[in-house]
Amino acid sequence: MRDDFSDNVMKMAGAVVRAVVYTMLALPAVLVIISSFTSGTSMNFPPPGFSLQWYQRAFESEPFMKALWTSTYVAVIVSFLALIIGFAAAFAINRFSFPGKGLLQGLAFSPLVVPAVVLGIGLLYLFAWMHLTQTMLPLLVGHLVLAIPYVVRTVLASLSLHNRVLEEAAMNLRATPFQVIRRITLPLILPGLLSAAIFAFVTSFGNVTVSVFLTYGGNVTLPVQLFTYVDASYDPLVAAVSSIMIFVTLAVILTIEHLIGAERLA
Amino acid sequence: MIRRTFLKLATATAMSALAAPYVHAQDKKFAGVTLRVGGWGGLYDETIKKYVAAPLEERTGLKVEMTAGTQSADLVKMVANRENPPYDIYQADSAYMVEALKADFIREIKESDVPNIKRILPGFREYDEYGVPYSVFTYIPVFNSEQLEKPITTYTDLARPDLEGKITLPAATFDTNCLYLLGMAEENGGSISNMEPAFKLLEKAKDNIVALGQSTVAMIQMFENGEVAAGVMSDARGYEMRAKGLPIVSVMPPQGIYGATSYMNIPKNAKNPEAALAFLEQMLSDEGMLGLPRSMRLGVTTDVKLPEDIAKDMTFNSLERLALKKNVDWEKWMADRSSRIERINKILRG
Amino acid sequence: MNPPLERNRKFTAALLLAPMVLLLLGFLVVPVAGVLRSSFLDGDYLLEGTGFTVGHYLRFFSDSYYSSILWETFVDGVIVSLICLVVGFPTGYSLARLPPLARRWRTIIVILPLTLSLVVIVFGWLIILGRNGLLNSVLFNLGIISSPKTLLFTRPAVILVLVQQFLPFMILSVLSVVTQIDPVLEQAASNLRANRLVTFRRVIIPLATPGILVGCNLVFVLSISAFITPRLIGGNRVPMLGSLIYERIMSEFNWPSGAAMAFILFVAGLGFTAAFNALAASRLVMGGRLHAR
Repeated sequence: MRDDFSDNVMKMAGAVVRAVVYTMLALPAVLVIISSFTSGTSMNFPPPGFSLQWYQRAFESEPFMKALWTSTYVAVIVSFLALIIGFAAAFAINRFSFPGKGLLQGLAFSPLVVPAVVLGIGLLYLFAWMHLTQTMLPLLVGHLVLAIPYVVRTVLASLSLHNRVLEEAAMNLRATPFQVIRRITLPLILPGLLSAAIFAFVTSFGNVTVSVFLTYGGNVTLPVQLFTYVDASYDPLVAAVSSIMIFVTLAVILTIEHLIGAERLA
Repeated sequence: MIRRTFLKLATATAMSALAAPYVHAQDKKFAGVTLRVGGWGGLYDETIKKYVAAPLEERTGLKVEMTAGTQSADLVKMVANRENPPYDIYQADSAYMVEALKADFIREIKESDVPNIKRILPGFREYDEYGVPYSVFTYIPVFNSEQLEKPITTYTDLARPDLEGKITLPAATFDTNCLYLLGMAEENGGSISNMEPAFKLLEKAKDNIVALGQSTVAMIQMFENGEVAAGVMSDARGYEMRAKGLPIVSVMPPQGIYGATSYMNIPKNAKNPEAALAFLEQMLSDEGMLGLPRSMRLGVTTDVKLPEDIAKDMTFNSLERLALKKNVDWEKWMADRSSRIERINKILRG
Repeated sequence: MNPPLERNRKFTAALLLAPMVLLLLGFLVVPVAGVLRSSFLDGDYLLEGTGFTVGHYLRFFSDSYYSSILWETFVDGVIVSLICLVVGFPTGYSLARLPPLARRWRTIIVILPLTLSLVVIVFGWLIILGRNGLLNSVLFNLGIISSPKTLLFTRPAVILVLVQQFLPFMILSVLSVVTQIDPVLEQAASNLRANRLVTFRRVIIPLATPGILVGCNLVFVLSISAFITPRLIGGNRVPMLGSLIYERIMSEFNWPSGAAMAFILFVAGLGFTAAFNALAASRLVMGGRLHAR
């Protein structure tokens, strides 16, 4: 009897915790989306009425639209490069034995723990010294560095999930390592790769703390544009632009999810 | 006075008569040129685009690209890129002018290059030939008249015990906003070299403070949401809240009002110095100068005539008010900033 | 394996690792080392100092104000990690055991906050926690409070928002290990008449420990270096070292001192997580021995 009782308590507690967690995680985004449809001119909640005026303003705003484009294309390039670099490294870490593996893994995760201000200023000076600040390069490289840990983590996890019997069989059949990767490993871990792509995309798409040092006149990203905008103005345009960011992210996740199937996400 | 107006009128007519065919012949002097201006975001940038950039583009073909940034991150970028500055126009307030001069990346701007400089009122060009002042903002106490029974009249009043849990002050890192401390000091026998009275008051006001605002926008939110009933804010923001229908009263402390000036600068290695000079000239023209008063009721720096309906909402709209404007020794103010920030942090967070 | 093949394998491994190592050496280690170097410069303005001094480090440790903030920052980090663990573990676990369709939207809800710009998240929380906000009106209507309370600008508010921001890392870490635990093990335990609690404690938690550790480390490290949340949600009244560093570097332009503080935080954070991991590992080994007996 007592066992049943503790079972039920755990069940109930689990259900409550989950409800609270999902509400807490979703609520800020949901509220932002709701307030973006306000017919009023300030960010009060609940909104006085429904209107699409702030979306119209957002789409008419050249700085925001330009920034949306910059953010999207930087994020796409970064995801692509991060996948290639991160997969190669994760594959080597998982499938080969060599000294200093722990150190290497530490290096791969270190972008997560370096304070953003330090990385931002360090990169700014490095690129200034190379006379490359007013190009796309600082932004791409900075985001690439930030995306690596997520990609390596995700790919490592999915590499360790499937066993390597198939690869070894292929190797024994004298397939070259690259043939093995292309024909056997990649198809097997495709879901992992695609969720890694999601992480890389969103890391780049949402970053503000490092980007703020690396943007220049022609290539301000959306989060940076938003960050500076809220410093000076505070109107539902912020909510509309934020919601557009949420929609873009959702679209990316859903597309990728559609490609790999929900059950294999994350 | 009449003579001057006549002269102005005559010159203007003559100029326009001459200029019309001239502009035509010139076929847009800056066609194909893009001027990169470091902006401060939001309505502020919109205004400058509308009253300075747009007319200039129409006349000269100059394309202006305004990039919103923060003063601090922009300064870091300017310093890191001395050879190849990211902006052709760098904006700084009085406090950041000290930083820009210290970092030595801006050039002098002479009246011969920007003729409208002669229209700048005395006392507004604080840094010799460096920087072109174009706007004035003040930091004064404001309060919600529906939530406070006893009005606030001075900076010192912010430490009143009946304001417990009711006020917001600007974060310590905002050098110009923190002039309220100088106000507190000078109202209580202190000075810029003796800030102790202000810190004592701040200690007293500690329990009054709900939060320090990271931006004026954050502070407006606090007023709108009823988190606070009083605080220190720029005059423009006080107007903005009144325009939104909040019962906000801006206080003009009788012993003096503290404020700062916004400047435009041209970096030493700017790519398009000629276009930048033209931009400054337009900024100081009547058309450019009246933009910020129109949209935000910010103060002007030239002898431009203010329309009555705008002037009534502005802080410096009469000689008596202008007489209240205190001069600030910015060098000293900035030299003390680190110790000031640390002191404020220790008082409020300790 | 014969030697030439072995050499070949080494070469392949090096080739695969080279891009990442070069990227991180060139654009992480080098710039960060540059900033580290500046923390020893004898100066207090940008990079204009010269010489070598440990003065910036000494000043930090000689002023009890800073060491107390370092301490508070760590306490906050531990609290955030613990809350994330307590609520994140059951969520991650149940997520791993859900059928695919039910998992779909839940996973998206978990990932979405990671993707949102901090500015957006903070803005949403202002709506919830404001004096006229959602939480106040719910509590008021339920009769729990009689007048609106100031919820923002307090330490609990900062911790709450940090939890929301970093909880996804915990959930995803737990999720990734639990999916690798064969449900058959749980089935076996329950066949042996172990109740849920016992199964959890004896089977699931030990097996999921690697994921829990990764999650805790991530959440802790991210929390202690947070600076936007304490500034915006804490209204500058809740000191955390991250925001002090940001101020020192971005407002005072005192890079040497800011860099020194950043490295103190960095090293102390790494030291703390390493000690925690070692402790957890030894406990786990001991636990394992106990069970073996």
